[in-house]
Amino acid sequence: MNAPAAILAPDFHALRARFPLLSRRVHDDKPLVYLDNANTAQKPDVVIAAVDGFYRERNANVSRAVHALSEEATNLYEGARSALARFINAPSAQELVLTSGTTMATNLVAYSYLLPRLRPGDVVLTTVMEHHANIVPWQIVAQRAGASVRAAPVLDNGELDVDAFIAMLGPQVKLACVTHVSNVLGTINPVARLAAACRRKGVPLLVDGSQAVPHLPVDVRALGCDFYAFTGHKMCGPTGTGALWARRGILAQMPPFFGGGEMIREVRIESSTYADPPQRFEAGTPNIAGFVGLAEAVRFLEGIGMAAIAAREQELLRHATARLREVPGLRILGEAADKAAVISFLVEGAHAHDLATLLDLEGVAVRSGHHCAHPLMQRFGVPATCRASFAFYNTEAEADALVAALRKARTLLA
Amino acid sequence: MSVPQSDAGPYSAMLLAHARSSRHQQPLVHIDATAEAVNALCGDRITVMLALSAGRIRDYAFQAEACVLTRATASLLGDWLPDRTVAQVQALRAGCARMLAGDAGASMHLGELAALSDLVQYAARHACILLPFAAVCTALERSAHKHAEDCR
Repeated sequence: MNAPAAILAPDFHALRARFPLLSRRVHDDKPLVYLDNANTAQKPDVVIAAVDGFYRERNANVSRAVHALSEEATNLYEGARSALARFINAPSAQELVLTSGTTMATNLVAYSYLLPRLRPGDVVLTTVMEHHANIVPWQIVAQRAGASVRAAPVLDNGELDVDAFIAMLGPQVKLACVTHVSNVLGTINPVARLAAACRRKGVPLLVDGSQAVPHLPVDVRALGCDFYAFTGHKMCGPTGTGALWARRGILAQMPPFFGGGEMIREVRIESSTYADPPQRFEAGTPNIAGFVGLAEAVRFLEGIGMAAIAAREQELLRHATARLREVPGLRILGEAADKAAVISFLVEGAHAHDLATLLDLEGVAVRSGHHCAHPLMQRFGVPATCRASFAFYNTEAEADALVAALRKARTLLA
Repeated sequence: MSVPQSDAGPYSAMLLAHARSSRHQQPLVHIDATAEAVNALCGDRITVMLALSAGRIRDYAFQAEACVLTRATASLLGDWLPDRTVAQVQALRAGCARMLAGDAGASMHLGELAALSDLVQYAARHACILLPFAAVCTALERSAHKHAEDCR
């Protein structure tokens, strides 16, 4: 019997060199330590080259003209749809609506799927740990329909109270919404279990995958949800890109949200008929170059392997968590057993914004504030936190630099 | 370990001292106008209380759950406000905003508040500095509105 071929681990040091911006220096020539990946990820050379190359050699509008450039642009744009479908193991590329990001995706579901179905007294179930993009759209349409939004609680350790979520799936719930990975706590929610419970109750489940798709292998078929929304710029792609996956049968029932060119079959002054999904939901000229770049980002991530990325980020999470715990007065918010490499923290006697300003002066970029998660801040009784969020291209030395900068900042502030 | 001032960025010893002091934080016995301002970026909030007479600010106090820059500005403002008119406060707010926008001449009449000119380069933090001004101006506007209603 032949020996199994050795599986080579990705060379993360070499991969880091593929991100030009990571070699930048800031504030008196200090090396940049970029730990704001949950906000947006940096872009590898291939993504930058793809966007640049599109505008240099292929720029044309999609699905409109018969000339060679338009055909090439259309093929590239539809190629991005196929790449994204493959990346999340969607059954068909035609189940992917290309959007400007997660926010547009959740708003599309709110107005096109949910609003026509909502009746007075109905409920949209979400959770306390959601980003505002997975709360506010539901509030707006619920108020129009006389319905309400309720939120499943979060436990002290930052995990979702799964039993409470399932118990809240009453007959009046018309849509359940949950984040796959919390952008504040890093908590990885048990989506497959939640989806199974939703199916038993006949409640469709929408998953916000913004913080999951860049960091974990995602398989929408295995998860069993009904909608999966995600954004491109957090997965090394350009800003202004993202997608909504939904089952073909659900998309087919949904009326258009935006009207305009590209989404029609025939237009008369009195009325119009609409294209089939996904084009029905893609009115106007899309961010073509952005999606060309995003397709390249998908291929780049696939080349590394999402399982390898997840494993590497777990190493970084373990190291950074251990080192941060050495800082006197530092408290980590969110210590779920299943957690992505996102660490929110507070330092006694020091405000998050003041800390972040001083960290920045040391070259360490973190986010401070409420992270678009007011209800979660209220749940934990804090106005704001600092958040260090890691990507596979970060290093243990960068986590150490964060800790050193924090110790220095604490001396001044605490 | 002490941090040299060159590494302290916007956090001068003077601003830190103001932020740490408890001056102007004793709630007023008599309040003519009050308002809260919230920083949408971070959820920081400040409540200001004013005692007024004859169109002038007689006393001021604040309570803040906020960063160093907001608390220091609120404290500095407390030193400046007594006996000022509404028009003077509005001019001060506009002057501070212009100073932070890079108008060096705008700091000439700001007294100790001119120290905030060191923070021009920290544009992301200007909302923190202007938060106490917003609260004071809102309180004064409410007071004027109430006075107009009472005079009807």
